[in-house]
Amino acid sequence: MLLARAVDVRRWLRDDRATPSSQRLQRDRTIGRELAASRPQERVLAWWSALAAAGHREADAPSTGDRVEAGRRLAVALLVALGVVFGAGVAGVALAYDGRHPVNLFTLLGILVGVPAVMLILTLLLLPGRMPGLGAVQGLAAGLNLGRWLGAWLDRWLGVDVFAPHGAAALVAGPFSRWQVVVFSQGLALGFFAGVLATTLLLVTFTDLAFGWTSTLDVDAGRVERWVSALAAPWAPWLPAAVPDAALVEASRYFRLEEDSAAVDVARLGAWWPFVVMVIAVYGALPRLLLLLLGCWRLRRATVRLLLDDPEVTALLDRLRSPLVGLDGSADEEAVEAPRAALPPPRDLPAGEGLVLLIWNSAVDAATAEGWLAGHLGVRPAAQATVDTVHSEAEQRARLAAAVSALRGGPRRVLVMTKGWEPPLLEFNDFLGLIREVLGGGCSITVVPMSLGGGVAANDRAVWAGALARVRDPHLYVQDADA
Amino acid sequence: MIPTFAVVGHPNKGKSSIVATLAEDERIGISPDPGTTRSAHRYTMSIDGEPQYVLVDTPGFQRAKAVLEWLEARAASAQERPALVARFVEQHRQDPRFHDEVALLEPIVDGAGILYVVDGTKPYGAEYELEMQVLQWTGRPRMALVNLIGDGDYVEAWRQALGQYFSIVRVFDAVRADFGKRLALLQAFAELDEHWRGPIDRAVAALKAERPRRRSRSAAQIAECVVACLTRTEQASLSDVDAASSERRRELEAQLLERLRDYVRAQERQVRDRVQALYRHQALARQEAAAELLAGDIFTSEGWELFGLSRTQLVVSGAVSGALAAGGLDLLAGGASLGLFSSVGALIGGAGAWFGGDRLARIEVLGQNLGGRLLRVGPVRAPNFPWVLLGRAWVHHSLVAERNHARREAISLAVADATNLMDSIPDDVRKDLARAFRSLGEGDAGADTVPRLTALIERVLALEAAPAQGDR
Repeated sequence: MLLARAVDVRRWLRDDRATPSSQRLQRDRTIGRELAASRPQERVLAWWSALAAAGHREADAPSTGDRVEAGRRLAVALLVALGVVFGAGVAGVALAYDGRHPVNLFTLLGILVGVPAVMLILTLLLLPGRMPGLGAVQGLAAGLNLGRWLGAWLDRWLGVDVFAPHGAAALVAGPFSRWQVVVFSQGLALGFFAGVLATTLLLVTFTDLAFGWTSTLDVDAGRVERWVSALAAPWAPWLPAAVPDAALVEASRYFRLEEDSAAVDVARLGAWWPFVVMVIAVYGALPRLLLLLLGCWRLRRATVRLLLDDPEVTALLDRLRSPLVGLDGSADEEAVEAPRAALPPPRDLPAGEGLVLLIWNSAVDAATAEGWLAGHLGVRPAAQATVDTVHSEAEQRARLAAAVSALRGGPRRVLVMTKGWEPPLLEFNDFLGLIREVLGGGCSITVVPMSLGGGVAANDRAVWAGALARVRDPHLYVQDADA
Repeated sequence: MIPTFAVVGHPNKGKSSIVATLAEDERIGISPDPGTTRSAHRYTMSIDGEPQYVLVDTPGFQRAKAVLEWLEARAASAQERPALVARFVEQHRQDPRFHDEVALLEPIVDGAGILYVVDGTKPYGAEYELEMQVLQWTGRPRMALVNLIGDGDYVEAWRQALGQYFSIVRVFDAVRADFGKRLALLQAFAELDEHWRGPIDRAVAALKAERPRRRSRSAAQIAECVVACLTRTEQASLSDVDAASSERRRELEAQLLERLRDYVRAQERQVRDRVQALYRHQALARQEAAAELLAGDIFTSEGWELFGLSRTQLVVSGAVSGALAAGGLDLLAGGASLGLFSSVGALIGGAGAWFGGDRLARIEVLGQNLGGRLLRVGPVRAPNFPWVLLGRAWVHHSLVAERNHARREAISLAVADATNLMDSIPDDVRKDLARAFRSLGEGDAGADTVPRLTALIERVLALEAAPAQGDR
């Protein structure tokens, strides 16, 4: 079931990417804090269950993973069945005995053990991954491997990307695919040997088989006997009946031109069968069984890796484990007052007569202010005063009154120099109100946001013009920078 | 009680920038227009849902003098002053004249520490003392932060003035402060009240730990993008008529190639969005169109020269790959070949990188089971392609990771600084990367490929990408 869960978890996490990152962090950390399991695999599976319990996913059955698992089981069963049929067929052909010549042991073992051994080597070549200089051989091995093709076909059939990721072009794509190919191909091979052994035993039981050996080469019986003994060494101590003796080897040699085979004890030629069965079992089936067991063991580990090495699962484990650092706030501002029309520059430049210069918050010293007026507007103020925020309202009022008291005809225009680099505060609006109150509503007021360099900065002017537009005074202006 | 810090001061002195930086929140309104912040906003830093500290962004003082006059008119002993401030807040809660003052004083009255922000690039003015005096009346622990918004330098004058009202005065450039400076400031908050030490230390430790986690998560995203782009193929059925017409075939090839390019572009966009989300810079993506090279198409020669390996590095990499690939034959020969196969392999690999460097993708015509043919374009074979992908992702990550949340302009690169980008990757990492890219290109990638690549990319991301300096 691990494969099924791996497939489901990976697919679900792919879809989960659409969920905002903060929600995923919150959800998974909440689950993660409750998990008792410490091993990554167990944590993921526990998270998967918790996800369903918390209603974050539907526990649908059968899931894609279940179908993949079932598909794999079916594939293995089919491969074993195919192997059995194929093995039985090959064994039937290889053990064909018409009574004229005994079954040639060299041919028989070559077909039933030699060829599969070559196939086994080709399968083993796939295991280390791509090896420098052996690409062509590995490509051939991959092309001949039915398990690899079956994996790609299963992926297409089930609509997943599990057995042959990155498409059919991939040679042996990672441990899971590699060991799955091994399990598939060894399932086929074991079925094959099961078919071979079953057929052999059936033929031995119900027909009279005669085995012999022949060679064009100058091979004497003694050498063959040594080969046979070497082959039989693994079982010789506990199954001597399956170790042909020298006499049997000698008696089993035949030549097809030699018609007089009656000289040989025909009944003895059947005595090779235990040896044949043991060779097939030990040199054919046993390595496949061992490889299958190794494959199953490694496949299980690879399935765990398939689950844990997925980048989304790695990220999930990270979310489960890592403390959730929240930096949350309600940053959305309520709408600031709609963009207001900025105050225009004064239409009539102030003449010197009746011009009152006010310096707010010591924006500039008096000499600089007068110099700027003379240089930019070509005028001299008729009266001036310095008023600061820190002054009390009474003092501010007194300073304004003192400034205009000497003016004949009263103030006509007021010019307020302020720090352009400071933002316009409501305190300044209060001051403008005070000016109106003291000097009357008829005179125009021009605010000059001074820059640190002594002039009017364009960007500061824009800020001031925008802010002062809220005062809604029809005779209020903001001095332009390039005046 | 959870440590709470009210960020207060004159309007437009960078209070919101400081909060945006410390809270890593790019949604906080920052504007040259005064009065952008109209009410107090709370930003809570929590670990697993447990609040560690709260930052309160407040509107600026508008009528400090009037507040002070109100307080002084009801002059009380020093002991009673905090209660008087609380009374002011209580009595003016519905008064529109003091809307901003109530909003900024309320969290302080409720127990917040004070972070008073001024702009050290503008001259000190006596009018600020009114605000400082009001804050002094609250009796709460307070720290002054000299922010640096413009180009002037009046820090010393500010230090002297602030030193009379605040026990701690620190200079903090809210817009340019890197991660280390942000943490240092946070640690300084704990100096205001010894009871705040524990939660602040926990918060700092958590933020420190979060940093490599974000890098690791970014590396995983980038690795996945590289794998996806390097293994992607586009294919289309080719009728016998189409196959016979070279013009039609070329047309189809061009279409498939464009589809492949579109896929890569989409993958890149996606990984950028994800990396930015990890660093809480989602809105940056909206400004990305204005960025210069990073927003530029990946398939431009300028970008390839800038972000990928140099021609020489490519040839060396190709030669090493070729030598490795053919080295097996030398091994099989038991040394009798005297390295001949490796040498030939290196020559072929180097020449392939030299001459084939500009070829983007493999184009094949394959037979189909049910008749007809299949035109397949991809996977991308250009040797420099994964390096360009990585280089762009690396630079983007560096810019985003160090980017301050108070900065609002688009990310950009200084082209001159971007040369020799790949030179700063250690040789062993570059070799391992080359091996991983080769394995991907050869279709030998498995489930473990992304984790391996992630680990390598994480090492790259930990390095400082040279062009990123251009943005700071």
